[in-house]
Amino acid sequence: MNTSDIENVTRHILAESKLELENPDFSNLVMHKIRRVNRKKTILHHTGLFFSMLFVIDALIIAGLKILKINVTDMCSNVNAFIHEFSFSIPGRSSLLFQFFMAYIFVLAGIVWGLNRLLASRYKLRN
Amino acid sequence: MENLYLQKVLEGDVSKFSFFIEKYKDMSFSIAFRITNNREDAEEIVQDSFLKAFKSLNSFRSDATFSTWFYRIVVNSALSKQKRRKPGTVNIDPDTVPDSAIEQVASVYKSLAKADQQKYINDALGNLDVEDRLLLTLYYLNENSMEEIAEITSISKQLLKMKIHRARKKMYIILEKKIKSETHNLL
Repeated sequence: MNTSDIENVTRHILAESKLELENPDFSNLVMHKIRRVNRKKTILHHTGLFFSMLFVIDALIIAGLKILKINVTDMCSNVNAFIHEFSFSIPGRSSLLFQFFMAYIFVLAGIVWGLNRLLASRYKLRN
Repeated sequence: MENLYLQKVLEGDVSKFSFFIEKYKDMSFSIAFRITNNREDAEEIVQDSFLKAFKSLNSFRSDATFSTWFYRIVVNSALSKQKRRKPGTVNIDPDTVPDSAIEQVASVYKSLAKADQQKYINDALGNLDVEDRLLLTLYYLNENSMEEIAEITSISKQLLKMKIHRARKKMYIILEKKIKSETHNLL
């Protein structure tokens, strides 16, 4: 028996050792997991994108107002009076700024969540 | 063909990934099973490997073949799982057996019924070292080239030839013992 024969015989013998997955839902299961992973990745990516876009837009608006020397609170006396009153009722100005910042983040998070929901429904239709 | 599907997946059409699952699930299951010797573990490894492959699809170099890259993921996952388990193999010195013995075993093996052949070969493989089982599966069952096996297992090509030769001899020794003991029991 030469080497080539041995190779062929061994190949023939080992052909009987081939195994198959017995789970008929295996492919669906893996695809389901993959879709879930992909959805998470997409949501994370979109969240980052939306947040940075909204921050940039807001920063541009503030910069525009500064350049044009427009004071929004002066234009709106009711808001100005409210802020003035509110700033005296709480311990400090930094706390007020912090609360405004938190409110701003919450509003942004709400917008991002809404946009993600909108995109997720479109994604489900596509895949 | 594969590159086309790969491109589609990378462009965001996730459903096209099922092409790779259908194509490679059974072979990767065989590889994982030969390393772990356990069906449940092997199935879990194949699932995890597909997920890993999907997550790192961006890092896949198009100059390599998908199968080699994917089998490497399967082998690494299976080996890391296997490390936590105690291997139950038999110590054999393949140098003590001449090549002529292979002919004898092969002819007896051929005369067996298909179900018996499957039983004996699976038993024999189960008694080999993890590395031997893996190399035999990749080379003879999956028909990977030496270059591909070297890439999958990180073993040098020169060493591979010798390792496969020894693994084959060991397999025949175990196969001979199994067949002999079974026929002895029948008589």
